Amino acid sequence: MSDTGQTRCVIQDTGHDSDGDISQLPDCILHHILSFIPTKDVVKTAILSKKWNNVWTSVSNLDFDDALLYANEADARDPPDETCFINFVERVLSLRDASNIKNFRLSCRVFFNASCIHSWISSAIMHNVQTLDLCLFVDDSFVLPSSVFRSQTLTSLKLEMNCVLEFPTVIYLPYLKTLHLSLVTFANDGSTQKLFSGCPVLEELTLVDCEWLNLKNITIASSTLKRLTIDDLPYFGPPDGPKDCKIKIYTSNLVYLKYTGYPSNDIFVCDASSLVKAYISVLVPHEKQKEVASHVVNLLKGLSKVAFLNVSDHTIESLVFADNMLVDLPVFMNLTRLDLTMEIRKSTVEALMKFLYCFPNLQSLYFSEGFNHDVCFVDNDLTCSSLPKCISSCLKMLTFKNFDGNDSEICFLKCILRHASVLKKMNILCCESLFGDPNRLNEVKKALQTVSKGSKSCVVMFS
Amino acid sequence: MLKNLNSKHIQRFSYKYLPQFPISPNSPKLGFSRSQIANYRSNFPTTIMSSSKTIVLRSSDGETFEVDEAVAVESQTIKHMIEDGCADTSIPLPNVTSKILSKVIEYCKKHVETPNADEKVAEEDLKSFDADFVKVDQSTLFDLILAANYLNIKSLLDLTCQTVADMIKGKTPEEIRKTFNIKNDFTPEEEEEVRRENAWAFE
Repeated sequence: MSDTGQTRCVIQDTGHDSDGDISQLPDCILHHILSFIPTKDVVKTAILSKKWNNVWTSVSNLDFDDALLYANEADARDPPDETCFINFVERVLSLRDASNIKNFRLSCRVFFNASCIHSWISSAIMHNVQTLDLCLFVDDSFVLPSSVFRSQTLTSLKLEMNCVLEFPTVIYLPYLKTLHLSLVTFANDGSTQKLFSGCPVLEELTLVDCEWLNLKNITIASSTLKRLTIDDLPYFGPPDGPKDCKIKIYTSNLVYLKYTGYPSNDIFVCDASSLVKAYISVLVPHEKQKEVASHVVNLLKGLSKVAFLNVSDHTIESLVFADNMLVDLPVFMNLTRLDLTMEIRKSTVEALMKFLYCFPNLQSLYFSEGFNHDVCFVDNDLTCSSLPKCISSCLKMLTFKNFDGNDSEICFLKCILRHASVLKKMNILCCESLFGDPNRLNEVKKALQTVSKGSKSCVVMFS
Repeated sequence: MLKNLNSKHIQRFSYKYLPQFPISPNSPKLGFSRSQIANYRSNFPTTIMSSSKTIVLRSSDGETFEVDEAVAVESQTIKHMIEDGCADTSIPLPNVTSKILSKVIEYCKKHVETPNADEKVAEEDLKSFDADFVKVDQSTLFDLILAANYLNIKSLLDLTCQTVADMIKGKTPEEIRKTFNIKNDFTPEEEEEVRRENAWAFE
């Protein structure tokens, strides 16, 4: 403990001279350190020394997770006693002083202890909690305290509950910025609508694996919403019955949209004039191809102002079944970058080429999985006229990942090089098997680098 | 324009304040007083905030460090001082020694230099810099925490506190006491009582 003693502005009991430096840190900093540790470990510090026994009681982060109960294999055979966990939480909450709780996280199973859990959540709300994270595995049903939906301090609410979400009559969360719902079942149109309209300053909304079964028409209207994520892949596969729920989205300030799904619901993005990035990932179940295609086209229609689009999985495949609906696809005037996070197959190539016609100002194109072996391009297939105009006049950068070196890939890239007149850079990231075969690699490199380029300043990079 | 200044001009006023002035050796506008410069600044604030501005920081042991303003304002404390106009000559930091201040400056420089792009490489490079940055003895680590707290540099405070938290997580109280040299001032009866009160935590 050297001359650095003078840098500390701490009022400290001189009786603890032999104490380590850490106990000399001011309480607020000790709280900050303890906020990175799960509550169980925080409580352990009670026993370190008398000072520490006082520090932990005003820590503003509480994290209770009963998964720690099931930590040993022995627990699988002989389920441990929930009462131990319940007593622990009760004890911590009662020993705690009256200071505000900033972050409260609770993850546990709900059995006979529903009333306890109810009171813990109420207690957190009463202590002006700002971030509430509840992960409750429910057997039957569980109703959250209505005070949760009237909190004057909550800025972030995360709910993961496998039951019907019941709301009180009034929902008003004036400071809620982040709302994350997982696994919940929405009860009906009216109450769900109330939830979305009861959050006047919402900026981020995430809906994962929710059950839309009971809903017919929902409107998500928010002028403050910036990020929207809808993850709609139910665990047990696509739903059977016709359960289209129409979701209309009016979010003039939305910047980021991510959709993953079957998509069983029909989503109309009616107002997304500020949209910058969109990620669409669609899977196509067998019997529903036409329906899915129409849903995808509807979804894409609303994204016409986006600047960056990432499509993955079977999104392009679903467009194959769209037939004449492709005429309905809008022109994406602002789109400068398109990422294709899937393998291009023979069945999707044509749809892809048609799709590229929607992007007249495309500057950067990214293929993350390359072409499948079944794609068969021959030199004559791709002429200047069959290539979408954006490639010849706007495309500045092309990245091709997982490059196999197969003939169609080489043919395609050659064609791009010949016709892209403003292309600056072509990045080719080879897959491992090609890299391990230096002869073939060199052949391929030569083939691509000796093509007469449409753009003089173009650089082809291999890695 | 700056090339036209001779050493006499540089002596008379800080050339940092004059990027937009129409300077020539014969210009009658030479010899600005401090108040004239301040007046100019209040009318044209953006012209003075050029990216080449540097700030001088003085540690508790009298050493001075000249840093780019962009690096200095990583600290909210310093940022407010500049905005309030207290940064004319140098900023004294009586709570931070030169040893710690130089480390803090190193941290801020690295974080300002690394662009915020979603570049994987830059991100990983920064992560490994952070990991190495906190490989110091406990005493220095705590001094860094206090400095980050005083200077209000959130990312540094979080990084250093997380490091200490990682040293506490998962350890038994005896191990924690040993790591940080904490004296157990409980009597055996008191300790037993605390254990009992929080039984589940100690299972």
